[in-house]
Formats: sequence, structure tokens, C-alpha cells
Amino acid sequence: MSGTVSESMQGRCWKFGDDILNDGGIMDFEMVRTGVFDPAILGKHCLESLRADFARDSVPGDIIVTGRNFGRGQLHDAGPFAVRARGVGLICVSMSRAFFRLAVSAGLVMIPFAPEIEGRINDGDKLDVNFRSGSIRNLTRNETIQTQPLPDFLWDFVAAGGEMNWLAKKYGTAAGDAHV
Amino acid sequence: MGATIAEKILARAAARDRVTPGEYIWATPDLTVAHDRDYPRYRQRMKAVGLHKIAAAAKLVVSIDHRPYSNDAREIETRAWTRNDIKEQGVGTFFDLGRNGISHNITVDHGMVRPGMLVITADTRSPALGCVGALGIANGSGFIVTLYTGKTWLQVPHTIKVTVSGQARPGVLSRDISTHIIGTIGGSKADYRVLEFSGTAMEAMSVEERHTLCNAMVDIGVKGAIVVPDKVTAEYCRRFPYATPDTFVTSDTDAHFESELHFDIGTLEPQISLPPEPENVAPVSKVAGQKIDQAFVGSCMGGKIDDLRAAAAVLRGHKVAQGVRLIVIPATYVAYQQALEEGLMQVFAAAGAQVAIGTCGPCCGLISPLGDGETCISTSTRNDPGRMGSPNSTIYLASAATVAASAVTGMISDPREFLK
Repeated sequence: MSGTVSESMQGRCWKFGDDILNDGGIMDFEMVRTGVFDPAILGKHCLESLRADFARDSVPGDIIVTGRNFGRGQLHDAGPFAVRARGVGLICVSMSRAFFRLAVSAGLVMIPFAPEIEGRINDGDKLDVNFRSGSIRNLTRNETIQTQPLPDFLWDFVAAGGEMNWLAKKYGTAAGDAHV
Repeated sequence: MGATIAEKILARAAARDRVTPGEYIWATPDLTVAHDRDYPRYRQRMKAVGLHKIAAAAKLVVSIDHRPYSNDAREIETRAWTRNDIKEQGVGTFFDLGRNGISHNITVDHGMVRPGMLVITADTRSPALGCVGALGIANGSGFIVTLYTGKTWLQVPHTIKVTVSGQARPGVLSRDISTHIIGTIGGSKADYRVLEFSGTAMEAMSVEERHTLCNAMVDIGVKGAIVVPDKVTAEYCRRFPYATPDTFVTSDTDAHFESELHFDIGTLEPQISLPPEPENVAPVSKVAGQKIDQAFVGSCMGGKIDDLRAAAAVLRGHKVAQGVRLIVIPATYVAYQQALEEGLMQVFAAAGAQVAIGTCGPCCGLISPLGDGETCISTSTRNDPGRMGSPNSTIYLASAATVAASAVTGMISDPREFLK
């Protein structure tokens, strides 16, 4: 994942509702409490308690689509690292401040504030998303939704693969995935 | 147009004349704070890619607060590594065992957080530091960037002005007021915002009580919470003389607030957060009689000296009910020493409480985690199912007085019965 981050993804939409918690929603409390930080383990359990089929069947390139206030609660990075480990994109009507900070840090490929999507994407729809431009093509509905992409200032971190990789590329000496 | 406290603090930290809500800036924090769970993890990630040096190590505070008592093999190894790394890097302040405390409290108990400062932490609860007129912002894993560069990127937040007036009735504590406020504002209005508190009820609060109030705002998503500095802040500054003169940062009269909220707490009764989240609020009377298995007085939110005093006032001359565990944890060694001097620890011992010092403990299930089907009433931060142990346990959040009263009766109880 330390290579180039893809600006676009084509995949299935996995839809989630409003007010999804970070700890206790995106990631089990048990993982947070016992301090599990291995991305492989976190990825396996990503959003599992809410949708076991997502944890089992989603593939890299698929896209999580959520309602308002995604990732509420504590500022713990197990949740964002779990999403990252799945290699999926993320589009939210809105995202909580805490999760937004962590999501940029983890380098999630995302459109965090997309009120335009409300009512226009269903679970299972095929999406073709350009995260850099904010353009979402809903292939199932044959419709295009234009959203506000991340500003350049933040895209720099995401394009580098997250803040740790951004630092590593800018100042570091070793190669490889700095998150592991 | 004028600027708010947060805008002024951020403008100074970004070496700018002014900043505008919504824009992204690079800012240099005046103080940075980490603890035993985040520091080693971030440092080891840095070292793995050849980023060895901490920038501005002198401004960095590290405290042992999450796992002071762990005997886990990985923890033992990590602790030794941490101590060595802290020494090597010349970290400004290290609160090791015996002098430790929860990072959000020990920095205030030592007078290290000053009015007008920008404080950046890794851990969630740093908006609490607004109790002395500083801007505390939590950055999670983004703390790594600050460790290496000495700077942080931030989006400038909007500020909401919150006026709290009225005189609290006896038995109604800062925690009750805080709980009432988050329950009223709810989960989204304050997200990304800085709340700026003033009013007669705020003026009547100690630094510790203000810490509780600012801390509680974290759960409605704030970026920061600041109490307008005043006489109480000035007294705090005098208690801990500082190398450079303090400057109180206040909002200009023509500053732009996104909105203004008013609370009158004169008729408020003790409040409680019901499962499954802090902003699900009701008066204690609504759930009085609910049986409990554990009671906890502690955490960055509810383990300060004022909380310990409130718990002891209820517990004095009483015993914890049969079949109930009461855990009391002063948030810092400073609060512990003060509680000893005031005879509060003797009250806890006589009541039959389990005691630890300067650690988060049950708040995140690290001491006495809840079992399946158990119910706890706690002064700690959050009540998501599973936070304190089993996902099939139930957590209520309330003031130290309410928690202590409930520990004595074995069921959720209004503390005013004990204060007559």
C-alpha cells in the first residue's frame, strides 16, 4: 500500500446508515481494549458486527457508502486502519471530526462530505468513483453525482498513503509500508 | 471583524495575523502530550522508516496512564523501550510510576497548560485543557507528524458561544451540568466546532470543574472547548508561576460566532447518561432503583480532587453495599496526595473501596472489566456497550456524588438523600 494510491475505484457499494460508531461499530471494542494494531487482523473484522457479509465478501476496490456522522466516538485508529486494510473506498454524507482526522492520517481514499449522494445510491449498486475529482458514476442507475473532493492540502497525505508514509517519503530513509 | 479565542490562538501558532474558519493551516503547538499507549507505537513506526529524532522534544510530555500495572510480556518490553527512548530523545517531561497521572490531568495539576496555549495530544480527551483558557486538540495518529516536524496541520474551526448561567442546587455538580449540556446540544451541532464557555455558572467553577465540563464536550464531537479566562484562571497561574508572563486570550467584541447557546442550570437536578451513549441523558430520578454490580469514581473526567471530595462527602460513615465493587482512582499522584491530606483516602478505605492511582483503569476496561450481564455506574468518559468490558454489560455515567450514593445503596440513587 505504500505505492501509488489509486484515484479511482470501480466496485460494489456496501451501504451503511447514519451515526456509525468508530469503537464498537467499525471496530470491535475488544480489539481496541486489548490494543490490536495488526492491519491484517483489523481488516478481517472491519465493520463485522454491523454487516458480517461486508467483512466476509468485500474486495479491494469496493466502496463503503454511509450516511451522516460516520465514525463517531473516540479518536482511536483501529477503525480507520481496518478500513484501509480492506483496500476499499469510502463515501459519506458526512464524517465526524475525530474520524476525519484519523482517516486522513490513515490515508483512506475517500469523499468524506458528500450530501449529494443521499437517496441516490443503493446497497449493491456498481459504482465508478473518481476520488480526485469527486465524480461518482452510479453504473447501476446510469447516473453521475458530482461531489466535493478532498482539498489538495489533504489529498497530499492520502496520495502518499497516509501521514506516516507522507513523512517517510519526505524525510525517511527506509522503504516499505510505514503503517505496519 | 474580530477574532474568537480559538482563532487568535491558531493565528499566533501559525505565525499569521489572522485565520479564517474552514482554511487549512500549519501550526506550531506550545505543548504536546502523549501517554504509554500511543508514544511507543508512534515512535516505533517512525524509527522503522528512519525517522529517529523527535522535533521540539523539550515541549513534549509523556505520562504512564493506561497500563501502569500490566504484566503482559509485550507491555514489559515496550515499557523498557519507552523509558530508554524518552531519555535518548530528551523528552521534556516524563511522568513515570509514582509521579504519574492521566495525561489530561497531570499537565494541569503541574500547571504546564497555560492560558492561550495550543496543546496537541494524541489521545482523545484534550479539549479538557480548555479549562485554563488553552486550546487542546486531539490528533490521534496524526500526532506522528507533530513528533517529527514539531508542527501540525489543522482546519480552522468555527466557534459557538455558550453562556451558562444560574446557581447549581446542592448535590448538582459540574458533571451534571456537563451531561445536561451535551444531552441538549446532541450529537452533531457541535461537531468540528470549538465551544467557548462563559457566564455566571462558569465563573463559579474551579479549574477542575471546568476540566470536567470541557472534557464532556468531546463526546459531542468538538474540536476544542475553552472557558473564557478569568479570576479563577489567574489564580491557577499564580499557583504555578511560569517562566514567561501569561497572556489571557479573549474574543474580540466583534468576533464572529457561528451561533450562540444559553443554558440556565438553576433548576437542574442530578443528571445521568443512559446506555448506549453519553448524550442519551435523563435525570437520575428516572432510573433510580436500577441495580448495579460496579461503581467507578475515576478517569480523566471524574477522578479529580473535586470528584474525590464529592464521593467522600457521600461515603463518609457508609459502607459499599454487599455484592457491589467500588473502584476509586485519583487521576494523578497530585490528586492522590491532596486526597490523603484531606482524609479522603481514609473514607474510601473505610467504605470498602478498591483504590489505584493515576490510571484510566475501568474507563477502558483495563482494571476490573465488566462481565457479561453486569451493570456499572461510573464517572468515566463513555458508555458504549463493551467499552468497560463485556459487550453485554451496561454502563451509566454520572457525577461522583451519584456514583458514590449508588455504591452505598447497591442501586442507582440520587445523592441528595445523603447530603441532607
